[in-house]
Amino acid sequence: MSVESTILDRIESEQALPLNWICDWLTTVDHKRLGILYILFALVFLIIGGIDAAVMRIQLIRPLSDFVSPQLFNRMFTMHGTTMIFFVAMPLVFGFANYLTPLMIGARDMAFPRLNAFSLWMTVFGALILYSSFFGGRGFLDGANAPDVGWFAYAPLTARVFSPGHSTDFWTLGLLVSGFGSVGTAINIAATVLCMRCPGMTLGKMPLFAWLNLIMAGLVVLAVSPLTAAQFMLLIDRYLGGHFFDTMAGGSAVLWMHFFWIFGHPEVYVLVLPAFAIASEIIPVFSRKAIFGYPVMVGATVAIGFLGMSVWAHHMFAIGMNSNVNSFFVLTTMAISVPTGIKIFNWLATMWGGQIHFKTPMLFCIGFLFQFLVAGLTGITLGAAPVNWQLTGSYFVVAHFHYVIVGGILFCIFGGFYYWFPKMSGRMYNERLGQLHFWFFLIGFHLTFDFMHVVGLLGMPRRIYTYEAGRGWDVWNLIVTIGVVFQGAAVLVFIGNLLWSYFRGEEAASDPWDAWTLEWSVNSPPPEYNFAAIPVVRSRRPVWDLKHPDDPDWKYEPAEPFNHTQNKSEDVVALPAKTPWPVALALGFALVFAGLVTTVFVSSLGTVLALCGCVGWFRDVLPQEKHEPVITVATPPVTTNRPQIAQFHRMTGHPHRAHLPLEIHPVSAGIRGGLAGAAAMALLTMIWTSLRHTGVWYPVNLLAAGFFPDRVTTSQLVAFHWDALMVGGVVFVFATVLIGLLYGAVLPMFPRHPIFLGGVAVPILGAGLAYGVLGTVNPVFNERIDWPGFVVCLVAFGTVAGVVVSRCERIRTWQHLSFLDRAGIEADRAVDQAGGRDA
Amino acid sequence: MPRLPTIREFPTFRWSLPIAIPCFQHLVHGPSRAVAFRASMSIVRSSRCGLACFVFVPWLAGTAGTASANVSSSPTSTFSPSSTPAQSVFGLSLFVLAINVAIFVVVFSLLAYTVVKFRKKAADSEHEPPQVYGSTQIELAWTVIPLLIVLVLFLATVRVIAAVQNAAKPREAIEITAIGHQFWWEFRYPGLNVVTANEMHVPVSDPEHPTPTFLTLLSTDTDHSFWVPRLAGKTDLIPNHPNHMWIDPHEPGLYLGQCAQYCGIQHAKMLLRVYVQTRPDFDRWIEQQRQPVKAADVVSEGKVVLETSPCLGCHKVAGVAGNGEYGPDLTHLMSRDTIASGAAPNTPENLHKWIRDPSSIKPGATMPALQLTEKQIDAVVAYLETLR
Repeated sequence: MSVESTILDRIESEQALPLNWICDWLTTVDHKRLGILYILFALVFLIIGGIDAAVMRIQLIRPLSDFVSPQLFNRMFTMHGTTMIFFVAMPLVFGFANYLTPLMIGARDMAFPRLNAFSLWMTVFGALILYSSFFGGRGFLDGANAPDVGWFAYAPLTARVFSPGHSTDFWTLGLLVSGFGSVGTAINIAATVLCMRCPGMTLGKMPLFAWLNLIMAGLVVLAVSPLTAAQFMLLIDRYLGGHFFDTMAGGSAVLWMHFFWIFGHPEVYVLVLPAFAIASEIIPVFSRKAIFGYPVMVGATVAIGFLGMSVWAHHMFAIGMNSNVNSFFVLTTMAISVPTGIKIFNWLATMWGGQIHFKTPMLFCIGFLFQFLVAGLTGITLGAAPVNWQLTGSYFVVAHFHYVIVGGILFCIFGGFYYWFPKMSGRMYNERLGQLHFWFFLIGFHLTFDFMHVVGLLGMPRRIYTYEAGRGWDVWNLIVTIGVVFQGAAVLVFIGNLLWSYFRGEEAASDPWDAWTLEWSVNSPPPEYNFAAIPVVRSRRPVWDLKHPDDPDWKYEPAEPFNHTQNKSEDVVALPAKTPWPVALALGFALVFAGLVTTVFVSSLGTVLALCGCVGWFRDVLPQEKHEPVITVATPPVTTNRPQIAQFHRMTGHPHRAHLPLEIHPVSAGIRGGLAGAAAMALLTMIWTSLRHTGVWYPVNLLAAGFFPDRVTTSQLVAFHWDALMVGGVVFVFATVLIGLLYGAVLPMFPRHPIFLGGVAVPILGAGLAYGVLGTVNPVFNERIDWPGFVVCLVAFGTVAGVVVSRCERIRTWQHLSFLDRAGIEADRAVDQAGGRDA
Repeated sequence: MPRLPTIREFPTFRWSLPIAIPCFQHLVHGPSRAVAFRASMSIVRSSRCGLACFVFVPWLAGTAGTASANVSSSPTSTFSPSSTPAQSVFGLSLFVLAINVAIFVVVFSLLAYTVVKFRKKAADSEHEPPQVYGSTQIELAWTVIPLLIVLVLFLATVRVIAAVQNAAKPREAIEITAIGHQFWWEFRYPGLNVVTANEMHVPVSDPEHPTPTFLTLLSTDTDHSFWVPRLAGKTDLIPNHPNHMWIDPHEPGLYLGQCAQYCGIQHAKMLLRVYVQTRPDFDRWIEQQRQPVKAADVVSEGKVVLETSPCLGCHKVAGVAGNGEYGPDLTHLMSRDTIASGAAPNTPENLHKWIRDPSSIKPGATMPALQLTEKQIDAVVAYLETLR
């Protein structure tokens, strides 16, 4: 078949009959179209899930309301949670990942385009299975047969004796089917990122978006598998006589909890990492600066992915695990706040010193930063297990996770919508409407979820269809419900903006935001083949390099061997052909499972369809992959909608690049100061304790008291103990050296009175802090420590350490090198005469 | 001339590698940026985000303020602890709150400052700002400090976990077995031979000579959770998985709570009432609960209805034939203030309504409507009124 006739056929088919148009979208394997399908699918379910929530909030607006029956309310909270997580948040995340990942890494499509289509349709059909539960039972308005077991479906409530009928099975089967889709997409994302980056784009040079989605993909594979396993076990319990979770026959309800939460917790990282990815793309562009600390951002994300698999039982603190287990999960839960906090600080540092443009995407990202901070702090609160014993299962938890998912994740996703809408649709959105959306949603969000914390602290449990008056919950529930109105209005504005802008918006250039990653180097919307010539990149911001040829990023990034040549533009590109077999296979699978709640005929039909789909797909790929040729058009030069762009490309002088800080004391100074201060403090302590007659060994024993909790009587504390001396000595030296190092780092920062600060102010502050902290950690400390003496000795330490450290040399850092030296470039010295100070 | 570090030395962790927090004024001296950093910040300028900052801080303060104002008036407030476990938790939560507030103030101030100070100004259009890639030392600083905070929080938390979960049971402790049902609470006092439902009576505990109450938590059907916020954190009742908790209320009174783990359709109405009484009152209550039913002088018509309809298949009245354990024990029904696990006050009208059709008070409750005639129901209610 000649190229021309194939192309003519395609042109004919694209002169769209509606049926052709539908078939096009049903059989597409193009990652961009599949991404858009994911996103549109998610938007529909966002509205449906929002209606579920609105019904609940109207019911709860006052105590003892009878707006809906308890049955319907219970179905509403189950469907709301399940829908929002599996059919809104996950498809949005997968949609953005699908659309953007190949574009950002310079590839023409995902690694497995047909698997991509299959995964999308499995998700869609899973949702349809779940929602088909509304048609049946006693009619649509009573929630028909929708599941009412909560989105985490605790056993044994899901056993047939407590949940007769098929409502629970709709939950199980719908999620089972869509779970296969999730794993398929995850495998696809991982393979694409690992194998299909364009030449020159090492892992260390790809956008953070790609990194974060890669780790997300790993988490999906690790997390969805236990959920799928648990769902099969539940089906076996319900229908094949199993007793995994059947407590009446020796099964374990706690087993379900472990299975579910070892899915459930990594699942929230699956949702949040792509939100971080979006923020990591938007914040630099709208602050006009490169992301601060790229390697640390990657490392922190890997840490989050790893630690995220170890915290699951913090959802189970109240179920009666023993104190050691509870303590372990407290530790891991609190530890995971460290890499997350690092990321927040890095985003802040990116904004610091930049020029912040307050367009809609950036507004949403700033809202995200604030709200994610609060959400993280309430998460720490919940991570302290005893506090969790009060607050789990209450509206405090509901407020916390909505703060993360709505205030954090959804805000980022809205930002991403606005940021990439020009690229995906070829039109600019209306900025006024976008800002209106932001402000309405912000007000509504805070009205609802700020005050929801309060009602949780006042003892209101979750998942109750009504509540008693006189508990002090009434006014808070009223305010919470009012917020829903604003959020609903905001979403309507959003949808309106999308529709209006799609048809009437200003045409978007290829690079409306003056951004720096590869997706902005192609047209808006991109051609089907993405790149006429596969790009060759040399830095983390290839489009910056294109725009600033005299000041490219690669001069400042870690040098890599580079011997790639630019690719030539290809005239005709072979892309994977459209095919109906993935969607047929997905439908077949879905029908097989749907038959379990309907009739065996449906399962048989599904089996037949699945077999056809398998055979058809097989023939699409073997012996030769079926391609369709696409003619390329020459890529126009990168254009932007930003008005002042012209000036940026005429750089005069050398813009400043920096690695902070400027001047510090070396480590040796800190250690010397610490040890000197320690000697002074030890001497003074000995003198003081002799004068006070408590004996020299008293402070040593106190230092070691944490390790010898039984030594509490005065006579024991005054006596000499070898082990206390060893331990106390180690603790003392460690602490003094640490503080000496801190002095070495911090003192140069204070231009005036460093010794007063180090010698007097810090010890007094430190003693105050110690009083508060030690008292909570172990009250013995507070009662036993001789505070006046302690403060005097601390002052002695601080003064001596401060003096010793300040007298040491300061050393200069990278800042003082010329950039030529830093970059290791052998160049004409005439270019930079300024020596140590960069122009 | 001081030794300048060469490129190859810096990335490795050598002796001379310090930790520092930079002073940003020193950062940029290029002509392109000299002006910008001397630009003064106009706080009053109507930047949208500046406005946002000035709305949010009072908003948060308002939330906190009004919240705390309401705290004392709620009978289920976690901020009014009245028993040692609840107080330990409350103390820990204040400590965590203090740390959180400090972190929030620091980070929010940085965010607000950044958003105001570094917003794009008209004069900025000619150039891009300095491209700062990062700083190992700063990253270390904001890794180490959070790690230290985490360490302190962890130590404080572990102590409270141990204090609450591993508390030894003194000899004088009252032992109660709480059994969760869909949708009511069964309370058995094994040492004292008392069985009751939904309303738990415990003695007040004097901190000098504590008489705490230790609960064993079981369930006959699905998961439940015992939560009376002023007395302790919640602990789940899980079938096949006995749990334990304890309370030592310091003040007499009525403490409210409810089931806190979704257990089915009427989870919302599985309410809890804990009556903390002085020791004499408690002993009197125990004595009264142990009395058998007084035989009535007149053969009660209601008693006949009770014995001949399915009632005793689920309910037990001590001294009357029948072994029903599925529903609450009715022997001392009139000693309780509420029926249907708190869903309605214990009045003859409500009893009548409940027996006629439980769904009228608690739709979905597991007690069926037995289709008794009005006369039969009247008789039963009259009989039940004698069960004190």
